[in-house]
Parts: sequence; C-alpha cells; structure tokens
Amino acid sequence: MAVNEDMDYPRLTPPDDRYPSAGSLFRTPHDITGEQFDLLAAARAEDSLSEEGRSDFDIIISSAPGRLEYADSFRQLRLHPMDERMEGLDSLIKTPQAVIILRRTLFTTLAAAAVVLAYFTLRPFAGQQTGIIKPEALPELTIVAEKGISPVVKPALKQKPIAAQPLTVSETTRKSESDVVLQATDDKITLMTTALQPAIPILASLTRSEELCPVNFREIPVAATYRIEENWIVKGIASLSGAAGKGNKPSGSYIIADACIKALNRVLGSEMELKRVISDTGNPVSVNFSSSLLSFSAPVKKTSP
Amino acid sequence: MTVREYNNAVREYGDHVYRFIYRSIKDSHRACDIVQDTYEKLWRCVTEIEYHAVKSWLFTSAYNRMIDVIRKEARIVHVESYDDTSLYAEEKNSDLNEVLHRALETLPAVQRSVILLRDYEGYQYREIGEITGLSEAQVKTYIFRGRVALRNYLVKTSVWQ
Repeated sequence: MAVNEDMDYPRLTPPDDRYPSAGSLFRTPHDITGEQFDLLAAARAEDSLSEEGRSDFDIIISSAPGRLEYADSFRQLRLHPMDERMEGLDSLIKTPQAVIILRRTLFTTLAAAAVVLAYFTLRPFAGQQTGIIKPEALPELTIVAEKGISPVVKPALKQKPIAAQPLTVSETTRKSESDVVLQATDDKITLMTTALQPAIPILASLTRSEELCPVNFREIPVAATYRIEENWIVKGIASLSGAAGKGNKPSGSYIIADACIKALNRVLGSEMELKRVISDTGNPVSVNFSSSLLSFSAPVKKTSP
Repeated sequence: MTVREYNNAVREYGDHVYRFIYRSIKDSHRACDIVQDTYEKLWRCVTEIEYHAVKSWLFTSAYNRMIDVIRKEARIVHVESYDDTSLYAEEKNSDLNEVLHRALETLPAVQRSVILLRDYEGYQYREIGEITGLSEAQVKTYIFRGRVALRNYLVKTSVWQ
C-alpha cells in the first residue's frame, strides 16, 4: 500500500495481492444443489429465467434428463380461484344522489296521492253502518189478523215516533218480527218498527184495542230491486278488510289509509304520517297528513247521525 | 372516478379482493370486514383515484389492512410452526387445486399473498411489488420459494412422488 504524493487529497492505492486458490471457487451448472435446482425450476415454470439461466438449466438437463420431468411439474403448481363470493357485496354499491332524490320524490308523491285517493274515496263509505237499511230495499209486509185471539201489545217505544201514517198494508215495512211493536193509545194502535232509524210509524188501525187479534207477519217475496252501487271497488275492499278483522265490520277510511301509510313507510323507509284530530267530545274533526314533501289537513265530514 | 365507476369497481373487483384476503387469512368474516373497510376508504377518496388504477389501489389497500389485522392479532402462521399432519390423510383423494389451497395455508403470509396475486390476478412482479411494498427481486424470491414449498407439501402428503 502506498500513499500518493498529493498530500492535499491522499488516496490509497490497492496492492497487487491475489487470492491463492481462486480457481477452487468457480462452479459449473452441475454443481447446483437440489434446492437450488428447485428454485431454478420454479423460476423456469414462471418463465422468469434469464438467457444465462436457461443455458445453465439446459446444461443440467442434458446431464440428467430425468430432471426435466421434475422441473415441468412446477408448471402444475398453479392456484385457480375457488368459487368464493363475498356475501353482502351489493351493500357496497352506492346510489347516485340524483337517483336517490328522484326516487324519494317519486315514491313520496305516489304514496301521498294514494293516501289522498284512498281517503277521499273511502270516506263516504265509512259512514255507512250495517244497521241502516233504506225502506225501499226491504220486502213488503202483510199483516194477517186472526179473530178470537187477544192481541199482544208490546209497550211503546221510548223514542217518540216522528210521524204517523194511515195503515196501508203494502207500505208496512220491517226487518224482523221482533223489531215490530204495537203502540196502543186510547183508540189507536200504531204499528212501528224499531229496526228502522228513524222509525217509520204505521197507523195500524183505528179500531179499539180489545178487538184486536194477534198479528202474524208474513213476508211476501218481491222482485229484487238492485241499486247501482257507487264506489263498489273501494266498498269491496273495505268490506273484505272488515271481514278479515272482527265482526265483518267494514274498516273505516282512516284505518285503511293509516295502514297504507304504515305499509309504505315500512317498504320505502319513508316517514309519512297520518294523524286524526279528535275534538273534546270525542268526534273526529280533521285528518292531518305530513311527509317530507307534502303535508295537508282535511276536515272530516259527518255522514252518520 | 365517478360513482358509476366506483360501482363498477365493486362489481368487478369485489370478489377478487375478497378472495385474495380470504385465502390469505382464512377467515371469511375478517375478510369481509377488510373488503368493506377498503371500499369505504376508496369511497372517501373516490374523486382522487383514477379508474384505471383502482384495481391496484384496492389490492394495495386491502393488503395493508390485512397486514395490520394480522399484526394486531398476531396470527402470522410460519411454515415451521404450522401443524399440517392432520391434513395428510385426506389429501390423496382431494382435487389438486384443493390440495394446493391447503398447502397454501402452510406458507408464510407474505409468500401466500404474492402467490395469490400472481396466480389469481396474474399480476406482474413489479405490480406485486407495488402492492406489497416489496422489491421485484424480493417478489420473485418469495414466489419461487413458495412454489418449492407447495411442491414439497405435495410430495410430503404423497399426492406427488
């Protein structure tokens, strides 16, 4: 080792020393171990061998042909995806904001329209009760008096008859025998029915009460007179809903509309609400509908006395 | 990247990322969590990532998340410590692909990941290196060693002579 003469920038100059047996360190492809050959074969199976690597591999194979099959087996070591799918992957899909707004607006509008339609269509029907029967829909009534038998006279109704009309057999109406009573006064007997509200009083006879005989009623079937039913679809739905519930009583429009809204809320995830305002006396006053886009209030019309 | 492209990325690569993670950690629930976290992360920066780079981004992010989970739970399985004697009896009658997947479980996590990326997704060494943070030479080494280990497993289980 010598130091050059430039003292400002001194540098070491390498001596001419030599490794005495360098030749023993050299290797040929035949010296590759089994583990090294495995790595070489794996690289070959990956087509990742360099040009020199391929020539080395060829040299090895030429000396031991059986190793070629061994090396080729590495090509079979390929993993193929199994049929594995992630559950709930669809939940990661995002919906564009515009679509969300459009969908919410559309659904809410349709729901509100459906509610309004259902409410106003069902409201007239909700007032009808099963007990209300119009006189013209009932069959005619015939009174047959038998002589010699004392009349059975029921006490008069608490409710005062609205009007009395002269007895005309063909005009006499009733719903059932138990609904018909006789109201006796000094010299007048009034036949009336309790089923009809308001009652239709009938002036039975002007004869004296002791001369009366028991009255048997016999229904005379008449040709059915069909009325044109208005809103028959809605009434049918209401009747079916009532039949599905208790007592075959038709559901009210508010109940149906409220059920529709709750179902829509459940399906669409919206927050619509239908609320009935009830007065101090317990009568419904109005119905309020509210949603994120629409809200209104509709007064309740009384359709029953 | 638009919302439509994001959704395409979910449909196109969701199962791929899940498969990669699931095969790496063999835990479907954790794999689902990792995939969801990855896509949530993607969604947060959806406007900053180009669609053509999203696949690589997904695998990189999922891989890093998986490494975090593995380190956190210390679930790294080493070849030397893995007890696979119970598997030997059933290997002879199994499909080669199934056996290879079981053999894969005996590999160290890094080898497993690079082999999965290579075989499942067909990534180049450079791309695998970008995903896993390894150099290309390291990726090659891990893959070659992994292949040798897989073959040794097959020989050990008498599937191959």
